[in-house]
Amino acid sequence: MKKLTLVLTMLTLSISISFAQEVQIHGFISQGGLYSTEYSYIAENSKDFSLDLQEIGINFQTDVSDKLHLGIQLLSRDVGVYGEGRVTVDWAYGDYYISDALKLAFGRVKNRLGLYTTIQDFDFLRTWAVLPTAIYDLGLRTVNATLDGVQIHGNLDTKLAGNLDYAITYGKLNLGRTSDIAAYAGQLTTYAVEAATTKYNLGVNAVYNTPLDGLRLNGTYLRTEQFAFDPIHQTLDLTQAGMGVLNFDYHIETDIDNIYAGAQYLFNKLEITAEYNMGTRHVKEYITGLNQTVLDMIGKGKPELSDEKYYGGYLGATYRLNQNIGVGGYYQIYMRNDDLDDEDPRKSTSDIALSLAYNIGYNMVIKLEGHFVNGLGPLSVSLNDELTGDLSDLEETWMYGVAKISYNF
Amino acid sequence: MKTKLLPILLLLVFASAFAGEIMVANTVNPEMSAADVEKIFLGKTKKWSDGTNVIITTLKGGAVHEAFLTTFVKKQPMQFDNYWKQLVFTGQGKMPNSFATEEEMLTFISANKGAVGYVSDARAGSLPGNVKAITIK
Repeated sequence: MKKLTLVLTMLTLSISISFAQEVQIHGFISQGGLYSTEYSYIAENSKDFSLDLQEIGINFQTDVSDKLHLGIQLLSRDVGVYGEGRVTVDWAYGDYYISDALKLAFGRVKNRLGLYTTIQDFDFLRTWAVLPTAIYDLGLRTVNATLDGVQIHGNLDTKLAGNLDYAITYGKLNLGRTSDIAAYAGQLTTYAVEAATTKYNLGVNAVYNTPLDGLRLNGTYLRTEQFAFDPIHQTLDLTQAGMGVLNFDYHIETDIDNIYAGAQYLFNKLEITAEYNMGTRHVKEYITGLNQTVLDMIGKGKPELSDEKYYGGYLGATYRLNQNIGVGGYYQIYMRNDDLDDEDPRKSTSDIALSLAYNIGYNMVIKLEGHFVNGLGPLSVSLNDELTGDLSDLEETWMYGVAKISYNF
Repeated sequence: MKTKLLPILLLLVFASAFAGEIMVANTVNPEMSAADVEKIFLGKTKKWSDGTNVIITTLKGGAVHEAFLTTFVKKQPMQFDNYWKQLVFTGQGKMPNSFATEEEMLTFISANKGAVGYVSDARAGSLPGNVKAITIK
């Protein structure tokens, strides 16, 4: 938090200094309602209709010089169990121009993964209310949205064969108690986890704007090294063995490899998008604070290593009927853990979404969206007790709907 | 050398099948490809060849605005607006200067080195003295 305060102060100071240079201020507010059948989804009370679907942001930007652009965005996000309305520094960075082909951004920079990763919080920029969660998992938003580090980026023009937007991002995550990592961790483990860090993240992204008008292709590789939750403090009662009660720390560290691929074709008022993500989590669990004899005694003498693979993808389209009305939809499918039995309803999930957006003037949009889901993969165990028991009797088909109104300036 | 460029306002004449709009700019690029025009209005080209910063201007709406964007930037007006909002809300740029009339746009362009915009064919016939045209290859 001290670091964030420092960044905030520095940027505010810089912006104040350069106020004469013209500071642009933009913001948005978005409020939604969420209703689900059968299960609680995203929000604790979604089966009773939840209003926990709110995003508010404001940003300040200025050109300090011909070559240096500074900006900061504050974001409050209350999306179900995520965010809880806390105000965070969404991004805050300086961007130094060397040439159109080479720029250097530094600070809290936007990660570039899928085609929508950088704008996933801004629903007013798209027809869909909720992005396909196969690629844009709401619980992973905090992990994927930004990095504290540097980014080399630019546009390479081939002149004859289109041009290429690229970004190489190196940084780390330091997700403290103000992040929503605890909520996400609650989906993965029964342990209470409140913070996480990474040793480093390295992402390489390229968007190829092809010579065919409207067609662009996206590709990303992201390596996350040592994504580690805070050590979990536990006790072991070995009184009967004459060793008393021992304190120890339980560690979960994960190296993650992610690949994203996508294509988007814009033809007049029609936009067609397809994206795919595959990833592997290399999980290492180990204990510190106990000697080797005790570790051997409880069967934890060596770190436990495991791999988990996951896949997801979608095909979607949007169409502007006129200046005010847009319609859209997508079909997505994803597998969260291919180690699960094929019959397990948590293994594979599909979702058909249908969207309607109505623009009121230039700055406001109202949306309605319905989702028809088959599978239990995206459901949180902590929100649905029934998922901890026998799954065979559970309904695999369920629905959820979103209504949303957004304003931006 | 740069001071000589200041009063020059360039007019980009599109040598394309669609000749209803004229792009104007306060810089000295003699000609430009259609791909260059698209990159300029998408914020991918930040500087002119003489090092001057590109300052994008647009009209707030109307037939000229729509025709220019769909023909040369390959986007509908709303898609263009959303594209720039994406840049703004991710810290990658500031919104283009937007004007209600061609006169306001021309006044701004003539007063700002590096500014670029577009006007209708009819308006292009009587541009201020420091306005020149650039042919689109």
